[in-house]
Amino acid sequence: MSDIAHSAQPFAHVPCGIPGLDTIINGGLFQGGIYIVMGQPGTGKTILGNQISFNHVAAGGQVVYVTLLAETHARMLGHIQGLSFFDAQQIAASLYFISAYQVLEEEGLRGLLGLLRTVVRDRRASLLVIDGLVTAEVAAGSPNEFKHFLHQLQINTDAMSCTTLLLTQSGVDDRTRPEHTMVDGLIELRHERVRLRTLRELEVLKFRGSNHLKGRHVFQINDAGIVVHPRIEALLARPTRPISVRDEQLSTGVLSLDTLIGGGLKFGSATMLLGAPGSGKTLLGLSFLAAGVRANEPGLHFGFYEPPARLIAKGDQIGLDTSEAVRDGRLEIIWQSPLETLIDALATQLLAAVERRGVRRLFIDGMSGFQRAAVYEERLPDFFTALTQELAAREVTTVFSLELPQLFGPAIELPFTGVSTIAENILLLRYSEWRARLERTISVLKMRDQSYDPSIRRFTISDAGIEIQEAFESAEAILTGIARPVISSPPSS
Amino acid sequence: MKTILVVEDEQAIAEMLSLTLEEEGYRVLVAKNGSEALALLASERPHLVLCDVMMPKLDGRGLAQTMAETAEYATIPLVLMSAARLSRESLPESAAAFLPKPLDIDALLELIARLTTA
Repeated sequence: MSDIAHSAQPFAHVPCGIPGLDTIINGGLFQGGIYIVMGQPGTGKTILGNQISFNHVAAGGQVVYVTLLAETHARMLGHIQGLSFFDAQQIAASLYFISAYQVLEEEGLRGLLGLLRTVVRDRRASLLVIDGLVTAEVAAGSPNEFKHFLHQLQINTDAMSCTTLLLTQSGVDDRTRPEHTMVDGLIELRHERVRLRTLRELEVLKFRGSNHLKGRHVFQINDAGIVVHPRIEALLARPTRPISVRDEQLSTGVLSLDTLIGGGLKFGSATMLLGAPGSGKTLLGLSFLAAGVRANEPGLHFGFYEPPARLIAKGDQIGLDTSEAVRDGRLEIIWQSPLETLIDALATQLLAAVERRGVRRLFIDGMSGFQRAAVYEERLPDFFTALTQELAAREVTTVFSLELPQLFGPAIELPFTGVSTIAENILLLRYSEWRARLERTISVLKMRDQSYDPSIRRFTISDAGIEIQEAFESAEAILTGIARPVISSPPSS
Repeated sequence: MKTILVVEDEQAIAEMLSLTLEEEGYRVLVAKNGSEALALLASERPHLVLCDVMMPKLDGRGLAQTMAETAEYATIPLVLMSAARLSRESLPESAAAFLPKPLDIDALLELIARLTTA
């Protein structure tokens, strides 16, 4: 035999170039594959199709974008030309828009198939997008005819190594549609109303040949087009690198606190500062970061409530030299509005900031910022577990603050369930009334794998810094918020 | 006009090959398996046979063997194609070429042009 040809790369990836989407589908679509993108009107199908097309031509590919819609190309392009991926120079050169509506009307599916074959071949297209597939479905005489059309299309485009994206409307009986069994992948775009918010969600329902990230992932449409935020607990179900174990302790920046907790915080651990408003959580966190600055460990303050200027002033006031650390780049302060944000977007931003500067100490000031962004609160324990595991794998020692709603009182109500499993160490900061004075107190609720002093201590903040004072040896019921003196029993006669 | 005999049990692929080859100026005959191909060869003399390996009734290997053993057909170039990854040893020596599926149309057309002008 003279010629044995081997398929060049039957499983080569065709990246979508959409942030997050290629991560969810493990690198991109497969060359020659056929994929359905479905969704209700207004969910972003046309933007997705165009964004993938413009990205594909920017990477050197050739695209044929076929519309079966009544909308003109001018109108469609008018709607997307403000998005940053849009490049008018590519249109007609590498990105070819044609309307097949009339051909379908006059010649049916057979005529449409002929047109698609010819145009893909003539343009040597590596990506074909058909926008408005539902029109072809309606034009088919029967479900079998439509299936046959898709099968023919699949074979033709596969033979031309052309990846195909079919954009279509979703309906009520989508889970049982026969064409869904034929295609290589099925991506659904949805609007989901959760209380007063409406979320855009993407779900890959099927993706042959790849272990994609299952479940729903939120996405946004902004000036850059579509940005998908993979669900963090799915993306980081396993950390991206092994978690190294080092027998090393990091100072909290408060020597007396280090003594209380048995020498410092373990390298790579996650510690929660649980406390009432104003109980000193932020200053303790800043102090932890300042100790890192002194040890040349890059720090990051990721907060939601206090803007950078106020934090810097706060740190400077108690002698932490926060302004200088920020100025020379050893400390970064990222402030995020807690309003209308997305939890997965926040985590992605946080991890990117950690990676960018090789952050070793992180203070997340306000877990409730993530809580507000979560929308689905039941996600929080898994979300934080995945995030803290990943931070540990990236050799980051993390301190979180979590505000307790009550200033005083015998009960501690945690803002969400599963808090104690997220953090290896928990410090409780509270107020207590003692002899007509309001005292800040600190106590250790949990320190994993290290011994600590279980006493309840006074905790003072002054211009000289934070100081942990002596234990309340002559009082009890301190954690109720109203301490009372211990009355010693009279000696028995 | 040169004639190509396409032997393929999958109708959609046969249709795609027919249309593509006709557009390139070939006359195309189609058979659904090796037995149908042999029946056609009794009356037609194609310039090349393009044949799937796995088919019902008489498969591609069987057709290759029969063609090799029949003097009238032995000189017709036979191109085998399959989605299966087949080793050189597992393919009949008499076949002129093997193409994997999914087919690369440009490579197929280039091969057919070369084998039919040789």
